[in-house]
Amino acid sequence: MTTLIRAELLQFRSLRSTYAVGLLAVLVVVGITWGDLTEAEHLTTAMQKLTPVLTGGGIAMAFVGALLAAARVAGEYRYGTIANRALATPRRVRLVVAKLATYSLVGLAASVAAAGIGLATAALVFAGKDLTLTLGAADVIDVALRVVVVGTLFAAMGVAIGFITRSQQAAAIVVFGDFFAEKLLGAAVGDVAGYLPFGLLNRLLDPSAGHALATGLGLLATTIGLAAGAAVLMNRRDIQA
Amino acid sequence: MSLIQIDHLVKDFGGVRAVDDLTFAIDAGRISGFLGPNGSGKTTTLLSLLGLVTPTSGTATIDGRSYASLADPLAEVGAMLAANAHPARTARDHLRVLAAEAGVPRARADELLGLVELGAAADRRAGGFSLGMRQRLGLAGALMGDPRILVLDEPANGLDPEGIRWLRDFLVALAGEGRTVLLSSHVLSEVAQTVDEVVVISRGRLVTHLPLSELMARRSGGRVRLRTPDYAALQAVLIDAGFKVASTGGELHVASTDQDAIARLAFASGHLLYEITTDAESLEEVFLTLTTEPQEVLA
Repeated sequence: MTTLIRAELLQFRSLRSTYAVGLLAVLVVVGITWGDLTEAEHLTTAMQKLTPVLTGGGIAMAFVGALLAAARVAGEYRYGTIANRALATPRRVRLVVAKLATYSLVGLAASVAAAGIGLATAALVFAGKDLTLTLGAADVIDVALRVVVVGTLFAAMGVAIGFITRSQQAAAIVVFGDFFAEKLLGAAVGDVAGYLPFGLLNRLLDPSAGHALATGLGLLATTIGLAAGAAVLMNRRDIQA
Repeated sequence: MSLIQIDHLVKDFGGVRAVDDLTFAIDAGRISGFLGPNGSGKTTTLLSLLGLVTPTSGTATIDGRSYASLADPLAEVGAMLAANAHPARTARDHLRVLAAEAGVPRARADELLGLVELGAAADRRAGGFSLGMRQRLGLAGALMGDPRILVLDEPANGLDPEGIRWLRDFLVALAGEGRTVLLSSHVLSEVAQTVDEVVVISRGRLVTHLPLSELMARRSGGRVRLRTPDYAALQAVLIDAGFKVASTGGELHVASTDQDAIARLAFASGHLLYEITTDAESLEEVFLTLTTEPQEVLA
């Protein structure tokens, strides 16, 4: 498995678009955090001050992680390279697990960076307004954990979506489509949407919502369900060169 | 036991039968051509052998085992399938990824790039490669695990004559190292100078599996054509020896493939020969005849 993850990481690193997407993610984190802090002088509690950081880092990691992972996995089908992967690893579940592990690791590392960038951006904004941003270690860990959980699990969900759809366009439609479908469902039915991926994401990124552990476990269960579906389909389907 | 064994293989895609009860075997150390028109089931058969496609019924095995059950598949079988490199990845990085998957040192990538004469293009992206360069990159990838068996799907597809010659020399050299090569093609003449034997399929069914030389002899029409200054006298000699002979436009056409025996007979009877040749069907005629005739297995 270590060999496979190393090969996957090399695949990830050896495309220029990886770095372009990384730069885009940084800009999104900074942009959202900055934008949400335009009226920072009205924020009083530490929790209020942290929410923009969570929103910036969490949303950036969720979308960028899911879309990048889905596009890369679906790209293996588009370019026929999935055959190379399956020839090297005939037990296909191992291949799915290796990709899940790789993109989860990448999502985790990127999320830690995103949380740091978000906090640094917030500190700069507050300093620019001559305001103080006093955070305890617990606050920082809380922010980082929420962003990391979101970034890691959404990247893994992206992998599963890539395997299930086998098409970059379809994968993007699934990610964005789910986002808008949940909004519509939320407007029509109400609470139900809160148990779907983006609903869980919003609750996890809202420190005032409570039940963070249960929400995180809900996202984990969703990810495991999608990953299991991807593994079953990968095992059953033919791979055309 | 044969090294590669396809046994009553059937593969349906929805309502379409791509491979229909196909059976053949390939022995070790040979270069075998797997021939058939486009859509005849060649690629599906190879993908079944490589475990990428699950047969509807029947088996495709390597040394008696399915691909998935090979302990170290890339050391056993190297495969070159169509368009299998990410266009935005450099040739060197593409091979380094394969090296990492195969668990071989990354230096193997540069070694193989040199072997397929792509060293100068190592840092170019595969998307900018010509078809011939992509085929070479595919061959390099197939050799990553130093396999004893090579399965190549249409390796000569789109190559110019120089590329085909390079491929032929390359494959002959690989076979000379004791490797077994199974390569598919839809053009017999592309591989005729490379392969030892041919497996011909059409509409998913086996048409013939023979050494190339035997196939050519069987399909040549069995005619030796010769030119001589005194053809009437030589015709009489040949008829006396039991040959069926016809004369046309100053040439003799002998119903036989034994060119050597006819030449010896002419020499022994003191006849000068300007030309003696076996009048064979062209390779394309042979191929078209085989693949368009009603299905009948020639053993």
